[in-house]
Amino acid sequence: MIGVFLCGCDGEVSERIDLKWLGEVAERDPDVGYLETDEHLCSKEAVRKIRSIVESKNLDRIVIAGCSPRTHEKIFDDLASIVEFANIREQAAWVHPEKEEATRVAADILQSAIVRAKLAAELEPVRVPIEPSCLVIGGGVSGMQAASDLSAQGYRVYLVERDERLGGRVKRLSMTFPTISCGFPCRHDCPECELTPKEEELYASEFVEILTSTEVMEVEGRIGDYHVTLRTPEGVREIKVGTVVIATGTKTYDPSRIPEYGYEFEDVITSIELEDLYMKHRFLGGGGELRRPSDDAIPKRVDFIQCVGSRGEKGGNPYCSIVCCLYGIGHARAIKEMHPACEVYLHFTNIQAPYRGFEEYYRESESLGVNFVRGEVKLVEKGEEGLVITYEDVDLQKSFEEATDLVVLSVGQEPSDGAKELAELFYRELDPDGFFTEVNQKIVREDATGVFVAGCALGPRNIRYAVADGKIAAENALALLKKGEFEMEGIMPIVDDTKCIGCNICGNLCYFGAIGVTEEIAEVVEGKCRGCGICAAACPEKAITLTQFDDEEITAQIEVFARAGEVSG
Amino acid sequence: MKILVFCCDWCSYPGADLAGILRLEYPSEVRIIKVMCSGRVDLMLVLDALRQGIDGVMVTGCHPGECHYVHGNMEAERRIELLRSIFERSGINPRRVRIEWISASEGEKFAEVTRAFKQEIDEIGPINQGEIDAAEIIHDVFSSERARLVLGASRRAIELEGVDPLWYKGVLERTVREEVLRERILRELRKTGALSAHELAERIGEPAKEIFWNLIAMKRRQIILDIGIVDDSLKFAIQEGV
Amino acid sequence: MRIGVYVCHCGINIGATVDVKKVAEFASHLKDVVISREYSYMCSDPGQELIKKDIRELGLDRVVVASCSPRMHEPTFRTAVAEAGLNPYLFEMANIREHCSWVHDDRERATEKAMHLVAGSVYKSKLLEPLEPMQVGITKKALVMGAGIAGIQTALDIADSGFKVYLVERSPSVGGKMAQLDKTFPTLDCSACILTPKMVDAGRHPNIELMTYSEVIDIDGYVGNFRVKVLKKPRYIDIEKCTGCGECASRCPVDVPNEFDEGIGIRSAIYIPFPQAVPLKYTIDRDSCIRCGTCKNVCKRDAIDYDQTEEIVELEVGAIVAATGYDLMDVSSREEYGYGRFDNVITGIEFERLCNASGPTGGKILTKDGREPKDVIFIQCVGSREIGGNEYCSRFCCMYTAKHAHLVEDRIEGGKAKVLFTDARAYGKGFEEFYVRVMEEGVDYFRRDHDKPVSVTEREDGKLIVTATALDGSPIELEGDMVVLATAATACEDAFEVSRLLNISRTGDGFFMEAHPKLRPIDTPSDGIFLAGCSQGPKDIPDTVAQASGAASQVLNLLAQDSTTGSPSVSEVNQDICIGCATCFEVCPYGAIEMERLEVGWRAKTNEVVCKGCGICAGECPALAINVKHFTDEQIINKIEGVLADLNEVVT
Repeated sequence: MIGVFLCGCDGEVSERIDLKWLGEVAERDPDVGYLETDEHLCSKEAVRKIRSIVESKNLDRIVIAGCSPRTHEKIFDDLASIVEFANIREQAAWVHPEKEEATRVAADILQSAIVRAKLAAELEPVRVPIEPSCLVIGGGVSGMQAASDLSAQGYRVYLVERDERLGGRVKRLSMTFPTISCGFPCRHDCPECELTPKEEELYASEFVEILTSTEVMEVEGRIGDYHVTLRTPEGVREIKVGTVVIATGTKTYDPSRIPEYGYEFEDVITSIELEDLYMKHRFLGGGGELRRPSDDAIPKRVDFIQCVGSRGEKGGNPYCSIVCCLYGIGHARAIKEMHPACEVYLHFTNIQAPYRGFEEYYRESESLGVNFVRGEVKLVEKGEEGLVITYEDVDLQKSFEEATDLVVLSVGQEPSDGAKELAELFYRELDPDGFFTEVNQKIVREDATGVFVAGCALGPRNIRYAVADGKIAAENALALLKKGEFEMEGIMPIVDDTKCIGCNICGNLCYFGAIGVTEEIAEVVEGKCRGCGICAAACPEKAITLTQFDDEEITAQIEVFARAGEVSG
Repeated sequence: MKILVFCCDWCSYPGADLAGILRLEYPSEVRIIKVMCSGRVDLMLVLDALRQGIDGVMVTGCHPGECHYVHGNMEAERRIELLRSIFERSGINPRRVRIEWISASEGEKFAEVTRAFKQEIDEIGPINQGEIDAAEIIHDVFSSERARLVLGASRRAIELEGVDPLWYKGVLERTVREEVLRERILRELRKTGALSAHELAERIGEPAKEIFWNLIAMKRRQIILDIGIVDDSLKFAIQEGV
Repeated sequence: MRIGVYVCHCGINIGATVDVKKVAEFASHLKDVVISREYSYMCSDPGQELIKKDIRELGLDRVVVASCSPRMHEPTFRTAVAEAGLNPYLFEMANIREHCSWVHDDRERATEKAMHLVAGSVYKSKLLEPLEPMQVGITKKALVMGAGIAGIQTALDIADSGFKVYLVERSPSVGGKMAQLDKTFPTLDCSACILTPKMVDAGRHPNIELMTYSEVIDIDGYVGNFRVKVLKKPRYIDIEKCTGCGECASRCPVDVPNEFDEGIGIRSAIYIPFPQAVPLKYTIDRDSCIRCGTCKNVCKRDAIDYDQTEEIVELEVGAIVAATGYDLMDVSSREEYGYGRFDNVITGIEFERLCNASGPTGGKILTKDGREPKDVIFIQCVGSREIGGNEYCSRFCCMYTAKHAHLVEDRIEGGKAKVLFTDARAYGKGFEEFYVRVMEEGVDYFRRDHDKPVSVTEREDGKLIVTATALDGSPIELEGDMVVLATAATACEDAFEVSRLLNISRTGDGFFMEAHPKLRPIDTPSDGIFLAGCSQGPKDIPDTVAQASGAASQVLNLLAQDSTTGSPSVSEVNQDICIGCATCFEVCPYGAIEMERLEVGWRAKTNEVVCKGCGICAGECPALAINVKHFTDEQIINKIEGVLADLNEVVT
């Protein structure tokens, strides 16, 4: 028996729709055994009331007529085994000013919801167990953080890193900005000091297995039960995990793609090579010195070029790489501090300094004597005397052609190699730039994959945010792991094996690998299905039915609308 | 007049909600059916609506590239495009079906496109019996294996096998047109028992030669059988159990 | 050195123009000639005996015969010389008939020329060396190209005698044109009933390896030792796994015209051409396949393999039979017949498909819109016996038209057949009787003047009108519902390419040329290559089968031998002089030169089995390191000296 509950929404609906008449329409349906109208159905009291009515009247299915299910679906969801919604507020009351008209529309909407309630099948929720382990792909700061958080809760973690060592890009940095000093005697605030303890901690953990020089080859399975094949130096190995964190980071832009920046010359280097220079001198005992590659001389002039391969400059990637402004400024002032006589120029388009402390840092650098030049760098070439840089100063409306000793290219970030392959393995989407996307970009709903992405794999990030991401991904994974099982959304294709001819059209259409022919007929991988129903719409034999959006239910709704005038008129 | 709008759960349904939240008025002839993805909208459902007398059907989904299910909206577009080209030759006004992209933030667009659609249906008038009959036939075509196979395999053929999309579109349209003719032949046979190509040509209004070719094809597929020559023509009847 | 010279009169063939006595007299004066004789017919037994006796008694070590072309009797005399114990390659011939007496009138000058020729041969003979003919083994396998009735019959006959046969067929099934036919004239046997058992036999014969959907792309080697490359086109089906169940075809959504039904019937993109196909294995036509993947997924045996590619198989065979059949002329270019313009103008083979019980209409003769035609007009000699066109008679059209006319009368209630003919040729066993029978059944025959035009037009009511001119000049006008054209049988479209592969010639009509039109109708000038069926010219079924069996027996004669002799006249490389430049390697058309690495460097070497003795290598060798045995530089120079010598000087 169906119970119908009409909500007036404090006048939002009741003033625009004749609820009394609507109730009469509902009651004409012989299957409707109970009708109740309330002005505020989503209130605690009303919900309590519905619950008791459902119990006392023995209602197995109810229809809530009021606002969009997107507003309050969760409030009513577990009140009966089948709950249908008639969205008479957004689709009738609010869009048709004529009361009579709105009422007529609402009546159709209500009837179609009642029909759905009649036809809906009672579903046993699908629960899949979650293997209590996690695979973290990528051993940079983000992945290390995720691994550390997950292992701290006692879950088994496989930390896979393609490189020989953990630490990722951060490991190559000589210092981080804007905090530049941790005190006497060291004045570098080098990432090494932060990373090394973390690395040791991970190696020490009994729950973490670190697999360096290792790559993911193949993935099978679904949320809670992934079988991952790894290529390790010792050979191929298969592991079984319940959740996955992808933290594969980025790679730096290759500046030889912009020939006018003269990267071919010895004294034109990337920012990351600048880091290497510092590190080299540090290990050689040179300490706070910068010597250029060609002749080991301390440069008298250094020019930084910003946005190399970012923001669409000279055909580079369209997006901002986020970190370059700060490290550019950081290096510029570090050089100025080390060698006050050295002239430092920084050629930029816009300085993006939106984070805490960054703006101040930028202003300070100006006062330290770094020359900030807004405008395009036209050419870096090698003259007889050495490097010559031709650039524009937009503020002065003038072009310059000047000799310089060292050019540093502030290169941006790009999706790391293999991101596409990895995305395909895990049925993940990439954005047009080639970075991973969050599970749901638009509306964050419950995740049904058990795969989380963290750090720069999602797009350029600075260290702080990459670490935070690692924590978030770990939190998400932990939430799943702690529950131990996952309840699937009820929408699910069901294959009628007497009809299925095994043509695998469903398999080719399903992006998520949730359905397909393995032996002779199509099979559904429950944990992978996201319920879109493309398979059902395309099945040549109509052998696939959907548990919530079945043909029968939809055609019944169509029939209600087609017959509308006859019934309610 | 009745207009049916299929909305996907991720973009156009929230878009319609937003139209409500913004109190944007749109035609009261509009009725909404929610599906998870526009790719769920089987053409059979669209045709079911038309044959039941609904005057216009609009499928709405996420903008290209934004489908929550990656390419469901593209499948929907392929289907609606096919339907429109079939309608052109079947006596149904192709403007009765359309596809629109509406994001969750485009409440205004939802109201606009429904208004425009209403206006268009106003222009072409209510669906007539001829169109309803044709929709019935095409509905049955899209309920049967052959048309569904060719349509369903589009993506595999074009994306995975690299078949020329234009060529495939031609094959698809030709197959559906053939199936429409065969369905009409079947209906006549069901009504009358046994008929020759000529008798069918008179009833259907298509050339006897084309009908005969299709009769031979249907016989090969064991849908019909020939019952021998009667009155100087080969007659065909429906195979038992079809 | 002791040379014997024998000058032949060849009756009056030589004697009438050349003073034979004088030539013999002249020869006797040549140095080292110990005996010089003349005789009326040297090739006769007494003539040969003359030579043998002299060899024995006079101890001749060189023999020169001046007579006809060596192409005629060199083998005869070589055998005679060998019988007398002399190496046959110490024999030399002077062609004073074809190259002298038959082409000159002036007796004196002809006689002089004959003397020159004899002198040349005598001079050359002095440098001849004894050679031993090579014994070459025979690959005891045969290749049959084309698996129509001719190819099937040939293959079965060879295979039944215990030899392995590769039967290569271009289309997916064996059967050829005969498989398309309904009944066969004049007995009205059902074509399929008599052909199908043979097809099945060919398919499962342990000695026949069937290679369907395959084409021969290269043939190399020589009699007894051919190397053949066969291109297996991808069927996209693993024929080991395919059981022919047909599930795939029933699901395939593609409907396209079936070539086997001449476009009247319909098939899927995955198909067998007809239900009795051998092998019963499906093929995917990738041109019409839409790549929907359904067949692959519904196949329970997992037999479908979209990734299949062309495969080239190399075969070794001793003999080859070309049974590649014929094509039917495309009549759409002949506008007067209206084919392609009017739906119900069809060809004879299309009519066969209509009549065939397993054809698209289930054996009912119907127009394109499914009606039974009452008046059917048959036009004969469409494209045959035309000056400037196909001048030959296509041979089987008269009789199959009689058969078709009979079927119209027999199968169509109230049906009437009208035949517009030139001559009714009923030349075989039971043919005339059948022709008479058909006329008695009521078929009307209208004789037309073949030189006058025929035209087919369509009236507004759909009736077809055929106009022609009778022999007396009066007009003929026939009205009907259907017109059937007996189109000419022509050589296969690619007959030229195939003839190049086989290294055989074609006659002016495009069909393959036999070695002799009367006495060697099955052989070709290329040893070890034989012809069967319509590849040699239009034939009816009995003639085709007879020729096929004939070809099989020719093959068997060859394969029954253990070896065949190869000519010892092959090239020889003097490796002491060879500079290893590989010029010979480059120019040899047969790949008979091998380069070998010696201590001194690369050196050329002849593969004597492969070498055909053409001598191109010798002509090209910059180091003069190559000679062709029996045609060495020295031998040729000597011959030139003899031919050009001052006759008086030579004698004295």
